[in-house]
Amino acid sequence: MQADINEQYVEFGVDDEQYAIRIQEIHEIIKMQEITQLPNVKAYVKGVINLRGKIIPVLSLRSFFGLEDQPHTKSSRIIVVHHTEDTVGIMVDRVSKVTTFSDIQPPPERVGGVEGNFFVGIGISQGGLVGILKLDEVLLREE
Amino acid sequence: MLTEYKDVFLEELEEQLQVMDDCILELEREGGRAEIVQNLFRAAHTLKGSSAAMGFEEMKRLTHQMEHLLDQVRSGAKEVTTAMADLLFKALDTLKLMKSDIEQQDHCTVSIGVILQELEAFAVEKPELEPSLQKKAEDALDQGLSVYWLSISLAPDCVIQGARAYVIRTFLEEWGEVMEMSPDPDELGDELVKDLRLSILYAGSQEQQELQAALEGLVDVAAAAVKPYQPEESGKNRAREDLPEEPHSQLLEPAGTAEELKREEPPSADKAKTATVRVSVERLDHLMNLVGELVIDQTRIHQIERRQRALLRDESVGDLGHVSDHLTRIISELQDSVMKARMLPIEQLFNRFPRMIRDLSRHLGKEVDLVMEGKDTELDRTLIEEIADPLIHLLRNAVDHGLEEPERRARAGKPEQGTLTIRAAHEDNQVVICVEDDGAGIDPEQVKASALRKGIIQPEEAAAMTDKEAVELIFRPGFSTAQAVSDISGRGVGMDIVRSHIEKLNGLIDIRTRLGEGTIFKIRLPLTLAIITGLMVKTSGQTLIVPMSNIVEIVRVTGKDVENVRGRPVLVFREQVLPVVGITNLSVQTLQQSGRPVPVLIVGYAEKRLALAVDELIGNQEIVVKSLGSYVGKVEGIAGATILGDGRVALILEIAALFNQAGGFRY
Repeated sequence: MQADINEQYVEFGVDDEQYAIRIQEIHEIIKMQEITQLPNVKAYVKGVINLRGKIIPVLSLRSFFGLEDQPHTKSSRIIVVHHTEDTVGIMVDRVSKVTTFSDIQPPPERVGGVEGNFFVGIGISQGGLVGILKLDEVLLREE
Repeated sequence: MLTEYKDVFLEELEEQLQVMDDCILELEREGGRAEIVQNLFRAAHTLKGSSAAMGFEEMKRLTHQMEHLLDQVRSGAKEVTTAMADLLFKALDTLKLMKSDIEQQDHCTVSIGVILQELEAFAVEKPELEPSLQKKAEDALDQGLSVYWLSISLAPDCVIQGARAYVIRTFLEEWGEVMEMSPDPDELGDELVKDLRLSILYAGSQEQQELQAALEGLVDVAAAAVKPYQPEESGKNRAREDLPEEPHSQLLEPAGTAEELKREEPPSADKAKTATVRVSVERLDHLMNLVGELVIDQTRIHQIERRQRALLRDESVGDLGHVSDHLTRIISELQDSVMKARMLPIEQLFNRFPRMIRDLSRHLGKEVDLVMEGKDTELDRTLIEEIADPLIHLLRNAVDHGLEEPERRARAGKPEQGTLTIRAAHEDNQVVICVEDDGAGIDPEQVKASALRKGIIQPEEAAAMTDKEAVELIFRPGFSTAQAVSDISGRGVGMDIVRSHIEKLNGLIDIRTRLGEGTIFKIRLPLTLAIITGLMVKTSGQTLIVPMSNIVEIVRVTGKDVENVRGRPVLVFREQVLPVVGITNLSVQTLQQSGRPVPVLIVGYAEKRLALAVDELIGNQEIVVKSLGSYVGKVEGIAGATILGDGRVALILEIAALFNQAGGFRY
């Protein structure tokens, strides 16, 4: 998957950093819900939620990036993405906007303390630098 | 290829293959009863049509050849023999192979050359002979020559058919006399005829094999069949006025077949059957999900209605109550109907058995009467699929190890034919399937000895075992009583797989056996996997669902009732010492420190029992089991999840995991 400057992205924030996901990969964005915890799973898999009768797993980007979990705020959201056959929810601190990038640079080795291979590239917009997530890598990470 | 057509085609194929299976079995048993032959013919004809439409050329050719043979049976030109049934079964097996090929890779790679040739050889038909020709043939026989019908197929890639046919004729004329040849090589033009087959009446001094080998050695000959000419049969053929002049010309299907088919279709028999519609399972699952959502919404409406009632004193609130109640009733009926729509009679599965048992008993030289009862017992279709393998294994075992050889049976004073009964029935909210044989039974001593030899048990253990326990050793991994490993059963994967499979379906298996009299395997299964009755409990701050089928008893105990044995908490209950476990260690500690009685669930998994400490019982309800999806996959200790009335997700506890639980749940 190549990053394309003609595409639209949804920009969101985790901690102080800004990230983005290609809008085509996003199914919907929902408000925080009560999450049922799952035992014996990876720490960043927070549990499951009921999305209109379908049970989908939710993972937290905070814990994925190795940050401390924080209580949800009013701006916390779950970004629901389709990945292969599955639907997965990704918990983020806030969703900012739909945007395009004037330029996209290949990712450096590390992006704000996170391994570079979780990113397709770094998008450059007026607001600053935005790490564009490579969902394939994020969702298939092996412990 | 358009997949939607492919699916329809495969469904039809499956259906028709089943029809064929049944018909051939019947054919063998009852001979060529017109109705059976007709049904079989129709199945072959249907498949020929649909496979041709789908472009499966090989399948078309094979079914065409079957149809051809059956047509001869139908017209009385051929008698049904065991050899014919075997051949038809072989053709059927080839079709099944093709089916799995098509399923997996969209095209057939199964080679059909051999079976086609065999069918052809079987079906070699003697065209009606001119009286003069007949006379000639008889004269040749009188002279001590052999007269044969030759059926020769040219290779599909042969581009000079006329010339080849001519060469064949010349070749034969060097050896003997060609009395009749159809089609005549002189009449074969440049135009290629698909699947050209030459039919020749030949008189010569050669042996059948010699002739066949010689013909097959010729260039561009794909297959050759040689059948001795029998003068008396020609008379029979003459009676068949509708016989096409060139029965081997494959250009058109035999004239009249299609119309005949229509004519002979029983006029109203099909209408009498219940009208049915084929629905894909996906749609049913979707429907089930929607109903699940309705149930959840309905609970909400009900809650809102109650709140409104407290706030408002308006007539409309009462109306809302009525509507809501009505809706509840309709939804529960809807839920029932959708559930029922997913159920299938177990017949679907049972139908596979007669053929299997027939082949197996012939292979092993045993006589088996397969009795099937309760074919119309309905259960969830996923269960039917899941239970197939264990049942097949049990049946095979029964024929292989259970039933004795005819001589041994006769010596034991039993009828030579063994009886194998498979019985399905509903009992309470469960399905019970029994596999029963009147064979030798299982000898506990022999089982023990075998288990000792294989190191599955120790001598002390063996000495202390009851007969029942000894017999149950056959469920241990690595156990197999067969002296020699046959290809029927006993590949080291045996009864342990059967049992684990059944337990995975929340079922139980039980054996009863009497030496010399037979064995009964009794399997109990829940009606459906999709909906279970679960007990909602609260433990360690989580709401969890424990499948009701695993709960043996619910008791209330205080901390004093829990004892410590070697540092592990146990509960003495009805003279049994049960380990006490919790979802997390926290719940066990809470129980141990509790001065007032708290609920403890006695849960069972197969023959094992333990006590599960919980904080609070909430109640039981019917729940729709949903998977967690492939992203999280299988989670240790969790069998699935469900959506509660208030929209929250609750996890369903996997009972098996409690028994091998090492450190409890980690959140």
